Amino acid sequence: MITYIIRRLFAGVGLLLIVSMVVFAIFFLIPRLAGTDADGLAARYIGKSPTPEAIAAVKERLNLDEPITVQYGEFVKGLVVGTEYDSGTDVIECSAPCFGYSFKTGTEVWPQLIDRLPVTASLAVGAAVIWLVAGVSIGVLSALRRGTALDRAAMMVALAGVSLPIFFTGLVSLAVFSYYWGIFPPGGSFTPFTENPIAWAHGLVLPWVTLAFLYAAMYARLTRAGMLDTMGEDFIRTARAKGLPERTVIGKHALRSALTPIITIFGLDFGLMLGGAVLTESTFSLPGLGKYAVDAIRGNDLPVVLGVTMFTAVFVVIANLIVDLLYAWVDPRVRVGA
Amino acid sequence: MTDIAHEADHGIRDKKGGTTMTDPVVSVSDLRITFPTLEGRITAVDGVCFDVEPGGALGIVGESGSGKSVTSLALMGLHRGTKAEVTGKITVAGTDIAAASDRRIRAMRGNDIAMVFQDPMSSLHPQYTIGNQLIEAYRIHRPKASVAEARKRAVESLDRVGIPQPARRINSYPHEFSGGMRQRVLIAMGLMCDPTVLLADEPTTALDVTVQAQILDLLDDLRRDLGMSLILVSHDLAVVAGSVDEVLVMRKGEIVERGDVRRVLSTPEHPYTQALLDAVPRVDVSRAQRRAQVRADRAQERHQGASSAAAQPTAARPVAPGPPGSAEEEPLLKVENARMRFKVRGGLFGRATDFYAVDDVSFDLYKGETLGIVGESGSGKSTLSRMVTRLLRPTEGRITFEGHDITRLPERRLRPLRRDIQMIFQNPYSSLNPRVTIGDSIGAALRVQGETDTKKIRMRVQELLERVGLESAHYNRFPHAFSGGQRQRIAIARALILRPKLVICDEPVSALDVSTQDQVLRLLDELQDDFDLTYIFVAHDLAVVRQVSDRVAVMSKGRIVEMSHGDEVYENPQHDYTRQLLAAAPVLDPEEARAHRADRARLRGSTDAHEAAGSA
Amino acid sequence: MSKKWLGLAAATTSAAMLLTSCGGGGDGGGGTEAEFDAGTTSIVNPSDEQGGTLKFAHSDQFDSLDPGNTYYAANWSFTRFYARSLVTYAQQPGEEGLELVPDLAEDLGEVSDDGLTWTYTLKEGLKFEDGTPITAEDVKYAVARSNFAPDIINKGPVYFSQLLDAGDYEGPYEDEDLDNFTGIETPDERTIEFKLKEPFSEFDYVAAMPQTSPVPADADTGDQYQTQVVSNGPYKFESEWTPGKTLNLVRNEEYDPETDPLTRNRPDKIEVAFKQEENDRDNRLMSGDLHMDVAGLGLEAAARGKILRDENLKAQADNPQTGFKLYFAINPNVEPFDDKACREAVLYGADKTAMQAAWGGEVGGDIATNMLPPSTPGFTEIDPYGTPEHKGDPDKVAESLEACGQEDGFDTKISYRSDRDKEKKAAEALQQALAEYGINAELKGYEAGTYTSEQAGSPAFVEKEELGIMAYGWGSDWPSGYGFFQQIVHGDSIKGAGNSNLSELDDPEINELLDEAAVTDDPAQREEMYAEVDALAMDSATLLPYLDQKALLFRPENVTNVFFGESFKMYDYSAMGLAQ
Repeated sequence: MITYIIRRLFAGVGLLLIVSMVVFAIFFLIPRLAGTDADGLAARYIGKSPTPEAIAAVKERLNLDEPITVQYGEFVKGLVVGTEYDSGTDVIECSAPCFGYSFKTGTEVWPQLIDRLPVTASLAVGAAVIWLVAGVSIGVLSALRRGTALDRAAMMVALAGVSLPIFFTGLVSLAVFSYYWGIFPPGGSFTPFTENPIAWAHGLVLPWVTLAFLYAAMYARLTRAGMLDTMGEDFIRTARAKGLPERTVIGKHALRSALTPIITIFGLDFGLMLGGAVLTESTFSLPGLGKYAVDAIRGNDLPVVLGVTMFTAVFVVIANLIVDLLYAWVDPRVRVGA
Repeated sequence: MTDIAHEADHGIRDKKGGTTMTDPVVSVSDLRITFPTLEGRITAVDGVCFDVEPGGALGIVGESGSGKSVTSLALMGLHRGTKAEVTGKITVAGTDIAAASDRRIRAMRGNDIAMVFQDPMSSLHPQYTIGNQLIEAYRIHRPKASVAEARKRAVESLDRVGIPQPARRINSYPHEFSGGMRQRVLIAMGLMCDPTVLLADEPTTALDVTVQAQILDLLDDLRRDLGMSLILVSHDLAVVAGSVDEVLVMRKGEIVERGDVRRVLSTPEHPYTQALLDAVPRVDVSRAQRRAQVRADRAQERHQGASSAAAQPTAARPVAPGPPGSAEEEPLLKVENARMRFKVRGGLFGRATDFYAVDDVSFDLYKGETLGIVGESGSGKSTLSRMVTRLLRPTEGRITFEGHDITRLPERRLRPLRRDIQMIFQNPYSSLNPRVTIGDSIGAALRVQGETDTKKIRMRVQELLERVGLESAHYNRFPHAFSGGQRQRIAIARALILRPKLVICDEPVSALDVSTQDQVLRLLDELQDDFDLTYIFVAHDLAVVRQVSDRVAVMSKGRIVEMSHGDEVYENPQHDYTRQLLAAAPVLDPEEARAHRADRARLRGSTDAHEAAGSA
Repeated sequence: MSKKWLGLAAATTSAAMLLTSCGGGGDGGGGTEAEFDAGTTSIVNPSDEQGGTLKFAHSDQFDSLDPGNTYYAANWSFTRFYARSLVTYAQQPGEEGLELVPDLAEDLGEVSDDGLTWTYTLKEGLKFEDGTPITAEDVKYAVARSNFAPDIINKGPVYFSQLLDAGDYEGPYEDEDLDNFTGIETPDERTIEFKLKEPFSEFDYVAAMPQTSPVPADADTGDQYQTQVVSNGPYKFESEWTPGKTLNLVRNEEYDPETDPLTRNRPDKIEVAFKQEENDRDNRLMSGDLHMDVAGLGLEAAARGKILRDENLKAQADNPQTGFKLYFAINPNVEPFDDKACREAVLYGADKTAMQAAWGGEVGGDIATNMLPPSTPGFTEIDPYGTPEHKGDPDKVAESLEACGQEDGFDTKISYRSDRDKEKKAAEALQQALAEYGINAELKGYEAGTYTSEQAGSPAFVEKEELGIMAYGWGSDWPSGYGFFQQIVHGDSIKGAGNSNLSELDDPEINELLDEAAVTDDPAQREEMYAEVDALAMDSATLLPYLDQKALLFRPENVTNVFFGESFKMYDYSAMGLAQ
């Protein structure tokens, strides 16, 4: 088991390197394919009317003229060993892992990532709990009451949840619950958990519900389908034939089997979400990783994009690993070398 | 027919003679079960009555669609909550199923009457240990029992059914057991609460012959030891023959015959029963006898002019052929020391180990012959057949076809030879592409081999369709519109469209009902004559293999343990394994069945723990 | 990207808005009877009350909080809370707001006879937030770092580097000895002498820029300075700031209001939240959870509609001209525009009412007929390419087409910024108008982030892609003709990347006029020259101005002293306070 985990982690590191290379290549090649040269790139990071000296200076400082291999090499060196940053007055030591400094603001990327992670994590965890509980319960109920009004209503609401865009539900919920009724704080309110747990939760209820609405809908449908499949399995018949009460048949036998694939999906969804629920963060003006990434992409801020991408990749790799382990624990048929 | 069904006296004559006056432990009266379908309500069970005495054993026999499984489910009250409509009176261990409350039904299930289902893999929850499931079965009916108590009982139960090292294996998961062991576990689970009746629905259909025999022996043992009643539902008359006292034959929801098992099987009254008996492949009927029978039937059909399949003249063949082909003749197929090796991952730390699915197999096959290869699961027979068709590349050894060495031939050069070697697979449901019309499926082979004239293709396909017993109009239909037997005919047509020389039939009839099985075998026989084919017939069913083969090879664990002319193997088995197989084969004569059982018990007694751990 | 789909959401959000149509601002605490557009010409809610926390929201973020490293009007306006410059703009609505008043300096600049030295004297008793006195060297250092170290500090304007005679001074980060910076001399602690290469009459405007805000050399952290700027104004950073986080400013005890010509210390605390979603921000403004939008670009479409329909809300809105000129540049290096007549065809063919509609009709802007913004001193209205009702003149178009030999019209391209919906619609309007005359224009959209640096802003790219007509907009760096025209019509301003002179105009007459104006002392004379430049620029037929942009701004009722400052073309944030 330990070897398995170690092997996976190594593969994960390999994957991260590949991801970084791909991101690098994209940011390097795309502008060049569009006809921009290093000067043009440099001009993006400077102010409105740059002088030729400024462009040349920035070009050199950010290594924009170097071949891609050199630029990439610098990046990897920073990750592994750390790098030094000349702010003009001081030479700042940026210890490993150093994702560099934002081309736009000159701020160190790594602390920003760490800073924004709690926001995204808060959003993700809260929403995940809600959507799992809501989605699975509705899915189970729907499956058991298949074809009834409850089932149809639930699936319609699910359809709505999946179809309505987040920025719509988000803005509407803010308008109604925050500005009209004043129950919840307005957009842009994030209180860290360590500061005030009540305020933290209070400010996140609307984003949680907005985000969860979408996912709960998907999970309800998934659970329903899984349950319907499982209820037709032979071992359910066996369970009934043993004389088990229906609630045990469903709660112990059916649910365990139906939920197994959902665990996989959940792990991946959650891992991805830790990379930033962009729409929700934008709508509610939450300073999370997603928003950070999007802004960086638009500003062609390569170090930040690399940072967020790799950060997300780490979460996805770990989520994958956990999901695989979890799956093996939940479904003994899958265990390696058993 | 109906008179028999509504016979006033439902008392069963006990084997020991004399009627017992105790209440029957199961009593079914005028049972009717209907289901709503898209075509309206269909009646699955229509007016069924029977009783089972305490300690008695009843067999319910029927083909698919007869209603036997539906009936058995009704005994457990498992139609509750479904759309089925159940009328009539069912009493199980004193409980009136129709009138009882849900609670009472649940209390009865597993407690008074326990059920063992057909497919042990899917009938056990894959994610819980068997211990968990066994304990659950116990504690639901004995809530006051502690977990430790229940566990002890579970271990006892496992031991009783013959699971080795039960205290350790109670923590294993279902997938860690072989098929036969799983079935034992299911039986153990059924026994947890000492039920009065054990209901077994096709308990051995998915199992190998030897394992099947073991399970049936076990059921018999338990019945005697625990004084439990047994209801055994099966499509296989032979399975039922040795294990029950009374038998019911069901057809389309009705009981067409009932009575003492010996009487019914030796002198059936209903034509259906007779037909069923005739169709069952008999391991004790020689090949020659069978061929003669078939030929006679055919002649009769042609005489009546009702045959639609006699378009071509049949080549006459000697009735009792000696080994076809003399020693000077070159064998059509020569297999020398063939081995097939697979690498098995050894877990995290282990290196990969070698596993030989086929281990040093050699034989010759002459033109016009039928070679039967019989073996249980894991014997390597399917792997061998795939090696011969070069779907697999033999790791070692040599395969020569018509003088050409095809062992390592690259695909391109092999292609033309593929015309000559064709295969018919086991599962008629999955071997045909559901999205392609059967005409296209069959014609595809012609196209692959280079034929481009669509008209010609169509003509040839339609010709062949008629030859195998279908209609040319079926050309444009999709597989799902056909029954299992019909699909197998399509598969046969597909194999024959290229006029191959060698056809390998890999379990072609195991998934079919008895009567259909018979028809398909007859067809294969006819075609062999008409098309001058050579067959390799692979199966696990000894009786079937005996019927069709000129020579028989018995495989076990990748090796051929015995090979000789058909009848020799059956009448004079040389190898222990062959003897074991034969001893395990279910026979239709109840007396003989018991004799075999005693044999098996003796064989088992001598190698008890060894066998139980190794096999099944 | 975000603007586009949020724009789509606007329609649906309008529905949601209807639900909350009762949501008005907080109760208006006392104050004058405000009406629509009152803030454009007067101070709304005047009050001397002090206290409260003034909450700002920005839909994006400041380019930098470092006063030496920023180039956006909103930022320049905002930095006045903690970074005072030598001179600044008066705190008055209307024209008076364009006047310069001395801030840290005792008086406006004193210019030497040869025009090459401008001298400012610092007031006495000025201190940084830590109590250390502000000296002339601090101002010198500020200018040195902001203009002469382009590798580190490069986001701000570059006027000082162009005007000052500094030889090949390498900047304070390379050259530790500030004395080597000969562009500025500091004979004593309070005197600053700027040494120019050539006379420049409007130098005071340059001195008004935040780059002259003193920076103590030992507190400077290069491009990280914006995390903790040392304040010399009424407020200081509460703690170290990380870009992206909410900025909190608290009172600076060392600030002496007596030294300040402006009253800019009313709130106790100031908060700015960045990257706030725009529609939500507007909702918060209307519901009272937010006091002011600091970006100053106005309300989003959804809120705009709502406010204009509601009388009560409308009374809290202003619709001033932003001084931003929207126009299309026609590049004479792209055929067939090398022939002036073809360019004229475009000018005569444009339908400016349609383009105005693209920007939201009258609320979006006033139709423009020449380049100079109306608020510029000395503005004269001219309409050299006028057409009936601004809808185009078919006869003149036909004439022009014939004159340039393209009677049946020709093909060309119009470029625009694809993530700016209104600009796109204006481009479409032009395309449609021209299509009537057989001039088939293909629309080419580019991302705003790279438009000015690499696409429209790169002459090589323009010529390669044959972008004949380019959508653009321009606001001046300071309110004069020079501030407006220098970058967009002067031949010297043409650059390889980040070019703003899209027409690639290099008219010796225009160049001369602007150069001369730079050295002319008399403002009235300068204004005349600017008017001439305007006329000449229009005459070149390389510029198609069509709209003087207007913004719809919202002022919540509890914010005091709200008025539109002509200096930075948005509400004057420095004056604001909160009704208690």
